[in-house]
Amino acid sequence: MADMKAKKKGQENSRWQRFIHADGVSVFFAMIVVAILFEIILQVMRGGGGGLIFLTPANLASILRQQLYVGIIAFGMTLVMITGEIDLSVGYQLTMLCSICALFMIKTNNAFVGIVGTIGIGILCGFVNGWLVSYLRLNSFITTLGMSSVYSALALMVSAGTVLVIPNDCSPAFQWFGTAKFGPISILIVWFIIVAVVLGFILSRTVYGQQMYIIGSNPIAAKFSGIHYKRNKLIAYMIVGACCGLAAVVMMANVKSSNPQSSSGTEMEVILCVVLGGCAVTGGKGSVWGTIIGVLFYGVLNTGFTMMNLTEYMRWIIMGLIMVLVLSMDVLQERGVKLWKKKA
Amino acid sequence: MSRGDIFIELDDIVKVFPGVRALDGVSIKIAEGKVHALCGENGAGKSTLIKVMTGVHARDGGDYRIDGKTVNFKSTKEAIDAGVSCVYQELSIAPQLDVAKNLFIGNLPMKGHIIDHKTLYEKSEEILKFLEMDISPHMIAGDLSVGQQQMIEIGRALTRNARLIIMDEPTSSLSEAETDTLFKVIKTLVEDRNMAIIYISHKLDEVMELADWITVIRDGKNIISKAKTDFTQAELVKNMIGRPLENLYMKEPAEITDTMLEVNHLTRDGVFDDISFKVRKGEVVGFFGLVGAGRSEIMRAIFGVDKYNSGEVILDGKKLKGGDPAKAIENGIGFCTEDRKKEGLALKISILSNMTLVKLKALSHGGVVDRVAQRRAADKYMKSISIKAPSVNQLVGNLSGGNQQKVVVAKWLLMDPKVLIVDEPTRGIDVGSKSEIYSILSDLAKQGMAIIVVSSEVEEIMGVCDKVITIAEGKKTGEMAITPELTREHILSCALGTETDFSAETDGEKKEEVKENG
Repeated sequence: MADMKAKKKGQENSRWQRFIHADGVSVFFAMIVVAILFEIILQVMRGGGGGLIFLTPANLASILRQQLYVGIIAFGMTLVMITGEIDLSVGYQLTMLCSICALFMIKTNNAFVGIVGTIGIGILCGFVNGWLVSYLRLNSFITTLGMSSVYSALALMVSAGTVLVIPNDCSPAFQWFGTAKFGPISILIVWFIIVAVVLGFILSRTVYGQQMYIIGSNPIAAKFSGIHYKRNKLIAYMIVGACCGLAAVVMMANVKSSNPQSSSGTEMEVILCVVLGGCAVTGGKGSVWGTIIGVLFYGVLNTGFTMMNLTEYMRWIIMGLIMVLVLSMDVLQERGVKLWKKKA
Repeated sequence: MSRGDIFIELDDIVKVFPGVRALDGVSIKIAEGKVHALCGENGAGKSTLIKVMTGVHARDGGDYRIDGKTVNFKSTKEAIDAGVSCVYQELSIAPQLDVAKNLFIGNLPMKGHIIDHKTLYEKSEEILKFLEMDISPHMIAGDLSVGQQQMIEIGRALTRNARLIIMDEPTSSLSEAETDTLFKVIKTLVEDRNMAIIYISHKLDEVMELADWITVIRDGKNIISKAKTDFTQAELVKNMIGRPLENLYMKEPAEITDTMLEVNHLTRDGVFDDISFKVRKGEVVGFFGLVGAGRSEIMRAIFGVDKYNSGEVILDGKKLKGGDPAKAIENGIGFCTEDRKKEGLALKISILSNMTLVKLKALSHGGVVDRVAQRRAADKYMKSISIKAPSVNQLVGNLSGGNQQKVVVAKWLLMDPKVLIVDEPTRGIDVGSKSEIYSILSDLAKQGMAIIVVSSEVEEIMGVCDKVITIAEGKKTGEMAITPELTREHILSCALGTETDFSAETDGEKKEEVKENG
């Protein structure tokens, strides 16, 4: 009887619960709460009275704008993390690809070479990472950490350790690729949306996407179900590489200079976005929709802390702690699930 | 205290989890020197009860007394100190440590601040001798067989001066010989050491053999509790599932026609050797052997997850290239693996995705999944093999063992295989689900599917198969038709390798001969 009651109750709540439990929804609400908190804190800090500070359209738009590069890479990373792996090399991949892109443009001033070449090399980086992780079955954490060092060194090598500057009169097609505007909408946002839609579609609607979740949840079951799990993982890494390439091209078209020594910490930003969006580090869980929320949430936090006049170091301490917190919540939830299961 | 005295009493124990009353007033009394069996279907509340007893969960109601005093364990350590030890389904052996350290883990004999190695190994020798284990205490525990590891766990309870040892499905991964040893040890513990045992098992003949007293729980409530001698097996089953079960094995005759799978001289060096057999449409062939005899390995090789050194696999007249499960699936082999949680299911994912996993390509157009068709396919099997879940979106991890197993079966049925291999299809699932799985297999055979059942339960093989092939130490030692004359003992001795019997080696002429004679 008790069982029946519980079930009935479960059904009544199911639609609402499903909505709340859907990827990203709870994070979305958390983000709104945090944004409002920032508004309140900033009002208090600045004495109030002067209208909205944080929740202004201009500020929100700038949050989005800052996050676009990270966001594009985060979408690719979502795929990798759903399979239960990780790519720590995206930061230096981006640094290297920026240098390469700048070099291409300086040497050839050919938009095709600059764009396709850079993205192609990005895919190649992903191939190397993915091959090492899936076919040689190396630990992805260690492998991509090691490859980080390789990419960092390559960045310095191709640029001879200097800042490469793309001339302002470079190929218009190349500039268009990163700076065009469609009315008020920057092409950056268009790229962000295109990558999100394409990868979101792949994950939720294709055979490949559905297989990724199984691989992440139980790689052995995937193998016993005839899924080419190695190939699938390799493709995920190549997609991340392509995303890094795209981000590099777009970034170069905008800023036109690459600093091979900017050890940006991009990989931490990317991973934090993905994790905030509800992706489980243990694999099998996550979605592009969740990652979009994660990216925005990260932007809100970052901007909020900056506006509170926290130093970059302070910000990183807080972001690091948030990451640990989010990850431990995941683990705790997992333990909860286990207790539930054992009782059944 | 003497044998038969009650020293542990649980009265009206209640344990509530969000949304469910897992225990709803269970009472049980434990007497010294007796084996107390606890029976119930998956989800009946057995595991929860044990967790309350061993201090994993705090009870939400009722009274728990040891020697007349109410206890409130806050940790498993407190329970162990009070004499309540448990050997869990999942073993908790530290594989890198040696046997002695595993026996005394958390309880090492000390001399001041350093480990007293001399006492440690002497005492370990004693315990091993008592457990009739012919191994050195210096052996690394990870190198032991699962059965031996289980014995180490029991030995561990002994080092802690346990008065009650709880055994949760102890034989689920033991061979027949290991099970016999375990029973002997249990009997010695009870008779010589006056210990109490709570024995939990789905294998009812074990319960009937071992138990002095049987308690059946269902839906978190006591159903019945009385001496074994007052129980019949049928009564036990009836109480467990809440309705009488007519016949566990419902094998209906199926029409056996052409050869579907032919395996010739399949060999994997050091694992199995020169295995040949045929499975025909509509035929259910059982593979029986001791755990580790190579049965599952043969199936893995046929399916392509493992490679083989020589021999061939011919499916429906077409020779298969080994070593590629995707190709095997494409050609129509389905493989329900032995360990559903490890090899069969993605627990964090929905029933829908799990079920349609191998069929996904067929349910898609140009790589894009047709979600309507996917949903329809899953719904159909939810109904046809009655998986009990609120919806196909439920995560598989939240289902009971029997329902999980049905999801695995459904996953392979969806691809409509020509040959279905099921490895230990009913391990760790309750009687009700068992009988449902058997009837599914029987139906499939009637529809003309060729089926291979790998099992370490002779009764299961005899109940569901047309033919049994025995494997001993990687070699085929017998192929017999299941007839009323075939005895359990004969199958067992073939599986042990002490006899051979190839009376039913399939080839057309022999069968016709038999027909003419008959």
